[in-house]
Amino acid sequence: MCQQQFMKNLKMKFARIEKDISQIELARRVGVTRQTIGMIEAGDYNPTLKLCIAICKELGKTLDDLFWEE
Amino acid sequence: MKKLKNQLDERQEIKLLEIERNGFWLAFWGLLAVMFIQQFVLGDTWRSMAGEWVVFMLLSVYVVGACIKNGIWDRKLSPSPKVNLMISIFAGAVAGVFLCIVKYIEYRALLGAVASGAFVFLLTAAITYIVLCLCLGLYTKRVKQLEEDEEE
Repeated sequence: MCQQQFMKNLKMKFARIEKDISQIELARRVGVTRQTIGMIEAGDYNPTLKLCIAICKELGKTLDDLFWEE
Repeated sequence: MKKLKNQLDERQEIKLLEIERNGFWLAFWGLLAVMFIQQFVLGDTWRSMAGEWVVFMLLSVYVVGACIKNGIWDRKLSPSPKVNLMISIFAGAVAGVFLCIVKYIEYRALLGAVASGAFVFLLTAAITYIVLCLCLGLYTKRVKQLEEDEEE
């Protein structure tokens, strides 16, 4: 099994800060731990489509806005 | 040395992780069963099963340590002293009943077998409860650390 390093998700981080939501609060709203949110933003974890959609709904953004690679 | 490329697609990768997970549990319960049988049925000495015990303890310590480090307790069971007590009583009951049966088969003395079983039940339950509570303490501390460690 090999570990993949994904790019940092700064778009998601900025969208969260824009909404004035902490990592803990976003984690609570989408039903994961703060550690998971932190790892997604840091590019250490690639979330499932289901979780991506839940995050987008909470932050009022589309999948392209937060998870499309430039 | 050049790092080898992953030959599997994401679905296959998940499938391989599932296979490795099943293999782990097969090894874990298999080792425990083998040690029980060697000790209580075949009457082997502790020395003769030292190898199995070392591997079993390495597996157990690694899994428990890695789970606690990552703030994971269990898929279904909640991290609480009440659940720990239930698990401890269950573990004690399994060990106690098993020993009771083995001793009865060996000596054909019901009272002695029940007494041995009761002693092992209490000892196993007590040790299991203490270990689980220690782990619970470490887990609670680690989860607090992980949840408060927000990136600025």
